[in-house]
Amino acid sequence: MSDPGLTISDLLPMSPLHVEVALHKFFAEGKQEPVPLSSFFTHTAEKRVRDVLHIRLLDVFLEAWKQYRAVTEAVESTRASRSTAVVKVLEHEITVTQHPELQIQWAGKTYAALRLDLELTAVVHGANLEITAGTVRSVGVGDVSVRLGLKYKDSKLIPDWESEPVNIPGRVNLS
Amino acid sequence: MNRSRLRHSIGVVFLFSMGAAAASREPAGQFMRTQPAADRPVESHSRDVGPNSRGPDSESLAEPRTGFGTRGGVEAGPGVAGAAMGEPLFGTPKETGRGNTVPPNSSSDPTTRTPPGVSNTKPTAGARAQPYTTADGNPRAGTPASGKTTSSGLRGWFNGLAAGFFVAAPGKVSPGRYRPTPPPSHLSTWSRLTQVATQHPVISILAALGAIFAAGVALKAKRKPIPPPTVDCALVPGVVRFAASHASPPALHILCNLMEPDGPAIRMLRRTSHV
Repeated sequence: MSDPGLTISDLLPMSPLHVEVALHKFFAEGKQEPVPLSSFFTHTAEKRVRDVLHIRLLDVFLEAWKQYRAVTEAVESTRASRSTAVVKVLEHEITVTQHPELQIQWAGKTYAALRLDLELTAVVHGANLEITAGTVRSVGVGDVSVRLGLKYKDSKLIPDWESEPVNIPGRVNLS
Repeated sequence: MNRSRLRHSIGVVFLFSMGAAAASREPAGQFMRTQPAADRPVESHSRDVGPNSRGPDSESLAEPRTGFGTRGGVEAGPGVAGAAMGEPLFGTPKETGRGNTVPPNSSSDPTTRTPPGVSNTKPTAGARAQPYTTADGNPRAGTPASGKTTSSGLRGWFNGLAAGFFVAAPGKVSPGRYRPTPPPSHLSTWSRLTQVATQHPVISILAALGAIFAAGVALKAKRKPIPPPTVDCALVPGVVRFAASHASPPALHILCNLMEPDGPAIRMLRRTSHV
């Protein structure tokens, strides 16, 4: 977590995501005519999932912080006065769900999307937001613990994984 | 080559073999020496039959040639019309249309090995065929004299194909015994060339191989390889929730004020309660 440009994709395990499990289950439901699932195809699908999750973690956190009332008030107040406000957020939990959708095409036919569910839970032990002119300019984040899960419907593709609390030193410019 | 294409190729070769086998059920002219059934018309290789022929062989003089090798094939028989049936297998300058005849005792025909005047087959009871003319002297329909001829390209091709297979097959007829059959003189040039070409074993084999190759090429061109499936991924944003684990600073501030012994909240309470 020392890299301020850390992404959700970086948090995924290096081991396979077992997307083929979702693909087999998807076609086993019988709603779609199965396509030949080769190792190359499943590898490509997994790579697509990783690519689409290349989202900076602090951008997700910022979206969550904007739901905090103190932050929204500071944004409104600084937008009119063009002053700078500092908002401290104590320990909180941010839950993010993302849905990578696999779109499969074969023999001129487009199949229904296969939607995966990624759930990320981050426990942030304090944050300090500098808000100027209605925009969060920089942030200082305390220790962060991340828990991650990827599943298709009721099937877990990867085991639940939780990181150790890590520190993000210094301030990170967001703008 | 993947398995499906290999199976397809094997299937094509198998079909061609079956076709050749089916074609071989018909007498194969000079390449086959099958004995025809007694109730079926047979060909009379009577090209060297002349007036001096003896015994039953003389019957073949009046019989048009039938059976394999002629254009009528074994179907030719009494009452069966068609230019092919009864058609002489060998055309000679003196062909009369009533059987292939050569001058008596002629041995100049290089295609025959039978002694002059001796037929190389024996006619059977079913070997009677219709003459080329009807009772009133008019040409019978389907005879060369009627002027109506039919094309024998496809049939000849299959016959040649079957002959090629049989010549190539061991234990049947050795290639050394191959004797090309001169085409009838009344045929067109193209038909004669086709007939000669299809009767040549090498050409037949080459034609069969060419047909198999062409079929393979056609199948390959027809069956385009299906590209593998492609997959793309898009991200559908979900929900972002914020949950504070502790009370927010303003709430803490109010709570602290309330807890102060002489804080504003306590003072307000004292005023209202007159404590």
